[in-house]
Amino acid sequence: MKSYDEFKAFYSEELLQEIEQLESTRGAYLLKSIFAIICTLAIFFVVWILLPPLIRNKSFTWYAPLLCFIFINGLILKWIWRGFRSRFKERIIQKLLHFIDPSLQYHPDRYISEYDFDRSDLFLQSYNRYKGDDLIRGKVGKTDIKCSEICVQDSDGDSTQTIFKGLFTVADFNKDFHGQTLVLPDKAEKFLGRLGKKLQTANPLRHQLIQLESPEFENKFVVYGSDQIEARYILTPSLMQRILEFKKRNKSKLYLSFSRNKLYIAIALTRNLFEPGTRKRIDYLSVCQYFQDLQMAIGVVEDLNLNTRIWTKE
Amino acid sequence: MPGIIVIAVLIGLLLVPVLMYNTLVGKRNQIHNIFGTMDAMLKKRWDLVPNLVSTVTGYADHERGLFEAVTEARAQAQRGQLNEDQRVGLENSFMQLLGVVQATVENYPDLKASDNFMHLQRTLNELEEQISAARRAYNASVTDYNNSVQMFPTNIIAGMFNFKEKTLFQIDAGERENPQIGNIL
Repeated sequence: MKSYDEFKAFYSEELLQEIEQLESTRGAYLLKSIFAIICTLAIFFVVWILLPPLIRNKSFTWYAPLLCFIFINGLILKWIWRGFRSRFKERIIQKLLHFIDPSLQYHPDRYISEYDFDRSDLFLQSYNRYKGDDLIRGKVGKTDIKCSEICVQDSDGDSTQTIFKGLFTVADFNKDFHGQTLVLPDKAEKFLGRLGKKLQTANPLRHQLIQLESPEFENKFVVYGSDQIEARYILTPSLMQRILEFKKRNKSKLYLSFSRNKLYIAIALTRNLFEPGTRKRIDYLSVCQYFQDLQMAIGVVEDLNLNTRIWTKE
Repeated sequence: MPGIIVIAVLIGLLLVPVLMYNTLVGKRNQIHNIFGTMDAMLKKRWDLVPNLVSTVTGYADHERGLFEAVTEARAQAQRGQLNEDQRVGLENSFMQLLGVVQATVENYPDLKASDNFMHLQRTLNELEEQISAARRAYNASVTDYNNSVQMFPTNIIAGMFNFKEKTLFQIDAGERENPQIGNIL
């Protein structure tokens, strides 16, 4: 992993010029956006004026065109800014990733497949919307890794429920195992205490409850596994401590699945990763955030010590 | 109507002890199950001894005394006439012996770098990790069982049907000092 001093030097030597070049084009994109907003506003105003008075006076005619306006404008603005966005990803994020680890590949428009998401078994709810971007993949030390931002939702027309939004990582685990162990955020025990634990024991949708020795870990997570011994073989006291530190550092909800010799990690985030703002200029602080997010995505290998291969798996 | 309530209460009063008894049996069986798995892993570790001795003697022939001690420990384990305490003692001293073997290997760089030994080392690490996990699982199930034996109201059923507390699998001081893979993990 790179230090902040190295990052500062890289920022001023390599990135600053790129950012200035990119920012010099922002004015043109803003002008196009304002023009597009004015045009769509004018079209909707004319359409509304031309509507027969009988329909115009109904209450829905106020908000229906307004919603249409917002939706269509959103699509147009996205279309206008796609050039800026792709140049930003090519010039800033790609370079930043290359600086952190040159062996990793970056695909701005690809993402972790639904197949991988389903195989993790982390989220049992059904979904009908699955999208994502910013796929990073490659080998960190001895560990194969791929991660991307994904957003998984279930929509029935009237309402949309977000099942997961954030960073999803699939990494090769450093030990061989056959069953499945899931580490999920603990809600029931935190709020209901012993009763919560009883409820977790009786959860019919999951494997058996695994009660580990670390009270701090037990307080933050609930663990389900197909095998009591295998779960402890995977979750050594050292790995539990590392998971706790990883959670503290990233201050986000953390889900882990050890399944089919792989580790699936889902980090729930509310913000969009690696996206340029349309109004706010790209500055040192925003690039710092991209750097931190990339370090978080790739650093999982080091943070969870996945490169230690002293067991039979090489 | 009151008759039905009385019958329901009576059935409930009969069912509760049955459920408590079954819970205690289930927990005790889980301990036996995990102990069985741990036992299998410990046996696997003993099975590595001939391989370990033949690999190491080729390089470090004058450490014969050490290998004889390891082989003797294995022979004792295979005779199988040990009670639980003796068995735990033997496993602990074997752990210490393995620690000594690994420390001795440090003096023989050729041996340390040999493919055979590296493979053996990985297998041993794997088994140590699995044995450690099995011990933790065993202790977790013993704690769960002991809680039921001691806590009200299951302690009444435990007393009636002679469910005795079990002892935790603890490592002794010698083993704690062992220069094992714990530092790496």
